[in-house]
Amino acid sequence: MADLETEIERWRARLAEELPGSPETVRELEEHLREEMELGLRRGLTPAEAFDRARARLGDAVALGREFARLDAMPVALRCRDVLLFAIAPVAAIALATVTLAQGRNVEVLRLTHALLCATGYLAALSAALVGAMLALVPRRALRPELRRTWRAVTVRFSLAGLVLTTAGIGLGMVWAAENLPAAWSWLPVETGALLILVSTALTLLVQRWPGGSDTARGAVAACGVIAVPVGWMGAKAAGTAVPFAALCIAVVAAQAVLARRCRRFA
Amino acid sequence: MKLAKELVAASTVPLVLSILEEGENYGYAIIQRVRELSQGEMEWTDGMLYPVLHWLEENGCVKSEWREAESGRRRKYYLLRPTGRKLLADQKAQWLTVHETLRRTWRLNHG
Repeated sequence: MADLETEIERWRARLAEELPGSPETVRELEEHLREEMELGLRRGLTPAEAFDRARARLGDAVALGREFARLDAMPVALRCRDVLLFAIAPVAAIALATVTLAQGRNVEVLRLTHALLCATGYLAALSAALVGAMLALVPRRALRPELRRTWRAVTVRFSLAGLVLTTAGIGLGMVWAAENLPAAWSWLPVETGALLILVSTALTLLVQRWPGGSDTARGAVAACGVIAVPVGWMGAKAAGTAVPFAALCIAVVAAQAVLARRCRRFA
Repeated sequence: MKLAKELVAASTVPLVLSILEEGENYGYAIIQRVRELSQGEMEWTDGMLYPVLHWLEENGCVKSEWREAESGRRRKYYLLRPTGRKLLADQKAQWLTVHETLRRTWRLNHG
């Protein structure tokens, strides 16, 4: 029996190698192995036979490791609750614009709300890009798989927040511009920068939602966002004098789109 | 009769959720229940259940907790959550649609 414990110990160590950073999963599978062994013993098998049978039923350690690794490639699911929560900002923005225009109130409130929404949206987009990029930098074995997937979920939620807040902000800005400027949209660097941040954040979100791909590839797409968001934002702040900012932002987002396309190809 | 690997894989989530709808359960017992319900027709490699359970947990469909059984063995129990119930209802509708379509088709072909 002591030999059998050594065998189990060896099996557990092999499994732990295949499931790095998941001691709880290894323990869960060991409990399963022991339960199956007990069944074998009750059926009259010798301890060694019971162990071999239980091990075979559970499956090879490498195959198990591969199955768990496939979890990393699964798309991050979004719940209805999250989507509804994120829908509040655009709905509130539309309500504010409608009420302001219908009652003929001072449209400056739209410009202020636009600035607030855009700034919050950019911060959320930047957070998404930073968390997503971290996944590419931290070595696989240094981060528990569950934690790695949690980071991906955080990236998705920050991206979504960035998208809806920025879209709502841009929408209000357009309403304000339609009232105060010649046109709602005129491709100024300020507007181009904002639009590129939206595209960049959408790409960061999309690659997290696609099945397949690796953390490194997804992280590289997010890393482009780490550059695109501040560059687009600064371009926006420097307004009419910042054509180079917008040009740089276009280049970064183009690179990001190429990387995202590669992710899609491997998916 | 040996079921196709793809079919077994596709039915894993609705099966696991259906068993958890009967009440909380742990991995080993879930596999025994599948064996019992399928009268031995569905054979899983036991270990392949766990990535599915973990995926369901990470996506808020089930939650888990370690508890000590009367035998002294520690087991990780899985409980169905509202998101899991919704997913099950959705999967049930899809599988029933496939089932009904096939039933009608075969009745037409053979009837």
